[in-house]
Amino acid sequence: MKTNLTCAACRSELTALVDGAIHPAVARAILSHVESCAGCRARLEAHRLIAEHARRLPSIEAPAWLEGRVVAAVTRPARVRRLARRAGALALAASFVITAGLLAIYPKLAGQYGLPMPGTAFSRAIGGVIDLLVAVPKQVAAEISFYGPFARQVWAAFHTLGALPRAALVVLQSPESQIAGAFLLTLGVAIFWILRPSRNERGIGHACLAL
Amino acid sequence: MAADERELVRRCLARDDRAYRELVRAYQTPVVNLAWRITGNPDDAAEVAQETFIRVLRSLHTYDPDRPLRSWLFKIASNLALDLIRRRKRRPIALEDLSDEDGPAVEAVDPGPGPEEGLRLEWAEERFQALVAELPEHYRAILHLRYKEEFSYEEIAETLGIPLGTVKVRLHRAHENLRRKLTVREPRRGTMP
Repeated sequence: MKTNLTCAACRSELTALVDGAIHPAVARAILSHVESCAGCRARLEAHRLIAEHARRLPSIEAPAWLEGRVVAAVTRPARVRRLARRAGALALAASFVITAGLLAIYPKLAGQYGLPMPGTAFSRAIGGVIDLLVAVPKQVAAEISFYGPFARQVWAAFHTLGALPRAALVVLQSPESQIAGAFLLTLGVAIFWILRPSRNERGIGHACLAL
Repeated sequence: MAADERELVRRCLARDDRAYRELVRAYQTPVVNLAWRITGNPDDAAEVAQETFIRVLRSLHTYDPDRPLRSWLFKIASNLALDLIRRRKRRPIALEDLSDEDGPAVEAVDPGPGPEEGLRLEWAEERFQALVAELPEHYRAILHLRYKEEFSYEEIAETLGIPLGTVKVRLHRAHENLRRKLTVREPRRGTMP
């Protein structure tokens, strides 16, 4: 049976025909043409053989070292992170003990040898920074306050902003409150470090949460 | 995606070393072979496979479990292998590669004049392998995925990130390239050699 399919149109579909990747109606039309056309029949046979030979192409084995190297490369960073976490926790614990110890004995040493009290120097430095940060906008707001009630509100806000940390500094003047503050700060960081969420859901934090 | 594959992925995400090993063991041979087919060198193939698995295991949290893991692995492996080839520029670009692959397939030119009946294909495994190795790398990748991995045209398109029409055209051109090179003219009887 002769169809109106041209050889060129038929031949462009032969690979897809061999692969079974063609609509059944188109496949029927091509096969019908192939039956009556020796040239296209020879080509179809050639494509079939090529597909068959391509299936028989040789393969190689994966090298024996591949698995080990991949696993080592993927797990190494996790191991390093775990070690760093442990070292960090240890360093925090050590810093907590050293800070508490130093703060406990420093006032006595300061009084004995005439050293500056830590609270005083610390408060002065922080106070200076606060003054500097607040001074410029406060001055600008004070200048503008003559011209509008909104500017006056801004001025009051900056006053409050400067007053709050200064009040905290007054509380921290005594050595006892400094020790308590440092203790609580270090303890807070250490607790966060231990309880922080870990990706593998294994760690002390998750054990505590599970309890 | 099969349930056991899903479970394997879940264990890998939980950083189970044994699951890492199982995943590599399950896919190392096909990945190495795809990379070998593209690069043409076993050492390069092993290097590509190593990088593929490292990337896959590190970015497994971005993997869409509704897609086959095999396709995702092959996609990364083929990209890495093709990048390696491009970087090394081992092979100059063939004129055939520059043609518009999304357009209609151009009929290949026969090796010489005369009827098809006078031609035969010369089959020798070594020659066939050598001719496949001479094909452009993206043709080799498609041939491998179609005939060694038994991927459908749609799966090949998804794996290589190319349109379905391009898969069809490239595969047909790879076939035509091989057919033309394998074709030899039968010596005519009664004529001088």
